Amino acid sequence: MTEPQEPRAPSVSPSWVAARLRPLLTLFGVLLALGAPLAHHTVGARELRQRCDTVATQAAVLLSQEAQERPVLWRYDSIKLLAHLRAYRVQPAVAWVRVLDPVGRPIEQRVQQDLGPVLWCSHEVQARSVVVGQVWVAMDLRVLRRSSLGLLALFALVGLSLGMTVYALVLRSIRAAVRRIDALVAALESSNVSLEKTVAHRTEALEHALFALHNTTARALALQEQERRAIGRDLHDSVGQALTAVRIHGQLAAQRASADAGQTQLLDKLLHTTDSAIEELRRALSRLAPALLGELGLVGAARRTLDDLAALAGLTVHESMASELALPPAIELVVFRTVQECSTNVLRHAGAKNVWISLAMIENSQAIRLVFEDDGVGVALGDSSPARFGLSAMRERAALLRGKLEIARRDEGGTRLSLEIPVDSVVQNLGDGERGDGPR
Amino acid sequence: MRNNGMVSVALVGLSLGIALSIAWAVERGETPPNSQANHAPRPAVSDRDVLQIAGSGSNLPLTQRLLRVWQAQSHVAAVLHPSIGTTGALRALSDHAIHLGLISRELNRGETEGGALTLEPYARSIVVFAAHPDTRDEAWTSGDVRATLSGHDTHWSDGSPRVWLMREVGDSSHLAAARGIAEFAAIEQQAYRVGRFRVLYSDAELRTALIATAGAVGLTDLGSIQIERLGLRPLALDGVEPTVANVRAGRYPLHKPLFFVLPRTVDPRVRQFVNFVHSLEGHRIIEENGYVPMDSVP
Repeated sequence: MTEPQEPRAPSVSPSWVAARLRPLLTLFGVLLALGAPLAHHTVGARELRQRCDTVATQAAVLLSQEAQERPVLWRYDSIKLLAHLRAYRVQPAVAWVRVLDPVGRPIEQRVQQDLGPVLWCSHEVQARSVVVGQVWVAMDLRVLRRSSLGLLALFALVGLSLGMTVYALVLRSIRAAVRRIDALVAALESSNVSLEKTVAHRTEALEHALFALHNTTARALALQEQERRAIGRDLHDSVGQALTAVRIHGQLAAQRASADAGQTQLLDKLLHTTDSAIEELRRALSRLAPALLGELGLVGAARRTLDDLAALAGLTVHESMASELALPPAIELVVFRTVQECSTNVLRHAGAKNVWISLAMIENSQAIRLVFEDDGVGVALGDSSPARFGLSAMRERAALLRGKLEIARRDEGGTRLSLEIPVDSVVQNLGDGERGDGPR
Repeated sequence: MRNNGMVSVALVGLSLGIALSIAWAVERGETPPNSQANHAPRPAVSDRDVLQIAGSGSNLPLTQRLLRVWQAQSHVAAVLHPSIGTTGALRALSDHAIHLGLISRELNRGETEGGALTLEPYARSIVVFAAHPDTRDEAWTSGDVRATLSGHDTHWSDGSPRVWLMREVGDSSHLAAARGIAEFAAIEQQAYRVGRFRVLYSDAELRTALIATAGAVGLTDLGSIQIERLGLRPLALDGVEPTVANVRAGRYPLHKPLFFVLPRTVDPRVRQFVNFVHSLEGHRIIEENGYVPMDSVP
């Protein structure tokens, strides 16, 4: 069983050209060979016919005069008159002159010789406006045919020579062109192989460099987070403990100084300021080292953040997040930071009533997608506000993981942020064990 | 490859076919009706009451004289037509287009119409080399004739150019010269073949040309020169003058018979005229006009 062959593009080879050139050149040669002889023959025949008409007219005029003078006996002298005409050879090509009666019977009793190829023409003999005979003149075509055939032979030779010359020149040119093309193709193929090798080599080097870059980036990110967690832990352990001690001691002092209204009021202010400081510290610690991420996972931490947003801004959150997402810690961290940044922006700038968030793996693709929308005033693209810097930071974080972050204004008002990060083997193993376990 | 070869052959064939068609078309034209076997029917004689006589131009001057005298006596209406030649006379007689034919040579085997035609010689015409009236030479020789005819001698004795004028092949005067001068026929044949001299196709044309052309010389008959008073100069040949006496004596060799041609059924008026010609009066008229009378040959 044979497999169907793929259609091949026609290749222009010398034999292919030669096969198509031969009929064309044959036609060219034939037309060249036939054209001039045919024209010569046509013109010659026309000229012969004109001369024939002249002779016939001349003979008819002569005989008409005779017939006018001798209505009956003219025909008996016509033989001599015609002999006279023939002998004078008015036209060298005249092969025969004969006279017929009005119904076409010969007046002359001479036996007509074999004339060969002739061209006939006739003219009426009239006497007193009555047709009494008809002169027929035959012009010999042999000379014309011989000259036409001679021309045909000559032009056939010319046509053959020209055709063969053109054929040889064209084929020679094509063969030379094909040789040059073959050489160029061979050189190109050789160059292509070399180029492919170079490209493969460079690609491999690039991939290694890219891998190293991502590796470094992820490690830098992880180190940054570690550093943040360490700072957070230190703040929690030092400043946090100190503020807590201040709070406790302040509360005790307030209980003992209840009789003095002025002291009580000062201690209440102290307690209130301490509580604010502790709360501020907690939020700062949360931004530095999101402990929620370690405790609740990405979805839980995001939900907690959004709950805080809803409580602080008085807006409604509409969420659609996958229940379980097995993502590398580096990606989880970038996604969570993005949720945090978006929440902060909405709280500070948007004045939104609703927030929509969706988080899920993209179908048929190894990538996570976060979409965060609000119906607030909308982001001003191109402005230089702090929010803009926050967005730039989010974009840089995504880019470090080969992710893509897009921000746009919603048609119905507000802002739409979309983050996509590929979940591949490059980042799969980065940042493992570095999930935030910040200060509690 | 094979297909291309077939295409080439087809193109060549097509081109040749078209070329041949064009060549055939340009040569094509009307052709005469093919009725070679049946020549034209005999024409009706225009006026059968009038005696119709026609024939060779050599016979006409003498016959005209004889007819004029006979008509004055017989009061028969007759017309002597201009020359239609010996061959024309035979055909016209055969077609009953004329009553009497006049010829100036013996008939060929195929011209006797199976015995239906009868020849009656009535005179002998003296054939002469007639020169232009201004020519000074009065005689020449057979050698001069041959040299002139062959193109070797082209001048008269006074140095003026000699112009030879010929009748067509088969003319009776030339036949008479061929009988009387050695090698004349062969040399003349060659002259015809190469077209050495001008050829004229009737006695009247020849005589007109002889008069009109300075230095001209040609064969005609003595009687017509005398009757028509042309002024041409008849040359003596080999020292013998062209006279009736010299012909009768057999000294002058150039002469030719003149014949009546009679059909099987002879019109009585024709018979009457022929008898007149053979009469003493007829002989007298013949001789007076430079011809030699001949007795009737049954």
